[in-house]
Amino acid sequence: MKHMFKIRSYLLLICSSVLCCGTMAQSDSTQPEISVNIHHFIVNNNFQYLLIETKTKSAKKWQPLKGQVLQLYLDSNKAENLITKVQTDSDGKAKAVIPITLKSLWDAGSNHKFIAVTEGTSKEEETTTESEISKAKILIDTSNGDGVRTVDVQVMALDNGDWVPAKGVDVKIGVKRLGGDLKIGEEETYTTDSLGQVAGEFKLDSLPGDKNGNLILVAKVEDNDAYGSLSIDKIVPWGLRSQPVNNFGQRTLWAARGKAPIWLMFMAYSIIAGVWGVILYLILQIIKIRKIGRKKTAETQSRVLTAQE
Amino acid sequence: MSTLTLSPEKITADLLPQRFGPRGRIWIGILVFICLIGAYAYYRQLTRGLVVTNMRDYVSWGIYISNFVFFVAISLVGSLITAILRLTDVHWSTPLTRIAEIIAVSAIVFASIIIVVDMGRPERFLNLFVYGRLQSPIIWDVIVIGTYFFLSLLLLYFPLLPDLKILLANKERTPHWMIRLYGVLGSFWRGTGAQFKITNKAITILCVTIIPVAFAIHTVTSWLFATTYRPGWDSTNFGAYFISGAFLVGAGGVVVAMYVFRKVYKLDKYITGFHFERMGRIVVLLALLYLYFNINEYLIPAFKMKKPEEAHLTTLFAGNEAPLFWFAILTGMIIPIIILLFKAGRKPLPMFIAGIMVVVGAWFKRYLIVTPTLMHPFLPMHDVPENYHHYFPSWEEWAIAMGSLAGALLIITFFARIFPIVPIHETIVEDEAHV
Repeated sequence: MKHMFKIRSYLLLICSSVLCCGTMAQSDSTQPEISVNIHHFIVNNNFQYLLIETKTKSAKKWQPLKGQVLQLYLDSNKAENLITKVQTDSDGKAKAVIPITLKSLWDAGSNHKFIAVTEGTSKEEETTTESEISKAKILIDTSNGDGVRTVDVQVMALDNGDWVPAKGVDVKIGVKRLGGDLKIGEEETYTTDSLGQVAGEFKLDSLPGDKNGNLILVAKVEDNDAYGSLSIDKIVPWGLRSQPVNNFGQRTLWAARGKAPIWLMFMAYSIIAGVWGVILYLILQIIKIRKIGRKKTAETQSRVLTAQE
Repeated sequence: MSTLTLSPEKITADLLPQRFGPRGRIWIGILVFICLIGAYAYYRQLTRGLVVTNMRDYVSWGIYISNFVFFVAISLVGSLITAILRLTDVHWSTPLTRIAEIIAVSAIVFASIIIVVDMGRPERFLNLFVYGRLQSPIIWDVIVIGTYFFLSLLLLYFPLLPDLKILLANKERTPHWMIRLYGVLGSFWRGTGAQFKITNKAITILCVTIIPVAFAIHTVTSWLFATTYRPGWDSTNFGAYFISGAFLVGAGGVVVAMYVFRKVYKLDKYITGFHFERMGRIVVLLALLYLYFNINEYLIPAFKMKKPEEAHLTTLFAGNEAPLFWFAILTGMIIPIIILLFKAGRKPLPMFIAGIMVVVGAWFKRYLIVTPTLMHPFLPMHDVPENYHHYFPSWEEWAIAMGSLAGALLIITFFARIFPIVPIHETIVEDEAHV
């Protein structure tokens, strides 16, 4: 009896495990986990856009979700507040710009909410993601005192129609280069004070600039919880003048046919002349062999004729 | 060393060109048929454009260029068997020199033809010369192929001169047009000391000249790839890698031709087991050399496994191209090495089988050098149709490629019908010298 009870317990355990796993597997297959992130960018206090990032969990790893359709709204998900409808690319990303039709709504408040709604399908439920930001702006200036070059940045937030300093915001200051931004000093970020200001010393003394020695300074607030992402540029003549090398029209390997390098022409034509000279010489040898043969034939014929006479 | 000790009359009678028998006529018929299908496919390509091929934006060099590289490779055998062995005073290769030279000439002719076939607008071919840039490796290839063709032709012609006199002296049952051809080519040959002196000097000059040109032809062909910044081609080793492979396929081709001519024309006394034994040693040496370069070409990038190389190497080693890749490596190198390392493997029949394996493996190897790399550019294209990512030649491409191979074999076959495939005069002289 005790033995029977044991078997029954094992059977129950196995059945419940199978059922449990089955249910979990079912819920996994019917409800794929989706993550949506909304990022708001303002460039030079002028141009703004939204970047939507979507991911899905596959094989216990977050992967970009390609082709996901989302509807983006400003403040509430009513039809009249629709920003646009987007579809994510192969990296699971999509960009959107707030249309002019929503300008009055945008101007009306200091704080706004962005809403991203994924379209529901037979496999996926509709999901809604929200992100709230306060309007802010970033200002950049430079000063040059006692031979020390300083970059001054101020972050201001809109509060009840007035611009007030934004305190405690992390700001990155750098110089735009081809592969990314180069820090102007040793600090990764600078935190704004009660006046919303930061000052960074510019220590890159011998950085190559353009042909006029200009560099592009850039100050950035990245993914701030309250203000989103802000960035601003300023051109300063703090770099070294660089003279671009222009070999257009010179004799190079990549120039037009009439501009082949002299060394290449010399080598190629020498080899061609040498080998074709040999071929020509050999053809002349064939002619020589032919002449010898004809002469020999003529001699033989004359000998035969003499013998006949 | 093989010895004949036959009378000059017997040697002449044995080596004179023979009429095609029923088997020969069937062989010709098959080759002509394949050529005609190829010509029809090319007509379709000319009238409809390169769209009839399956070459698209990714694979723009398909089996046409693979075939071109194969032809250039096999043509190098002329310099190996004729020039290198002649200059090193190796006399056993005498019966093989003409076989090697006609393979070289026919291959280089079809290498030139197949490159024109690959052009979308062949009527603009002349522009290549009028507007060609000396800085482009393609122009170097055009120049060096033309030069090598003329040198190969001269190397075929000079040793043929004494044989033309023999052919004219034995013109019974020879068609009239062939007698006229012999007359045009060699009626002036009297066999005087002065003529022999000039000829021998010319052959020596040719042998010295053709070796660097032969090296140049395949090195430049390899540079068409190596000067392009792509995974699988971006190598400083490509010239040597191509030349070693070319010598191998050329030697393999000569072995196959030796066996066929020996069987068909009953040349057992002239192309003996000794010749197979010696050629076997050469082939195994060349196969080991080529294997060495292959290990260099694949092992070192695989060891570093740079990201762009990874996709290319994975495709070859374990991906879509893996069956073909391992087939080419095994058939083209490993199995022939195993066969030919043993003395029993250097007998005519095993040699013939190994030769065929080398040639077939080499053809597919050229395909693997050219095509899979094109699938993995450093900068992938965006928004291309899905089918651009795959390549399998269309029937037109197959027909043209096979037609070109048949055409090359047709040249060799007709040459063997018109001229002695084993040099008669040189065989008599060497036999007399030996006696």
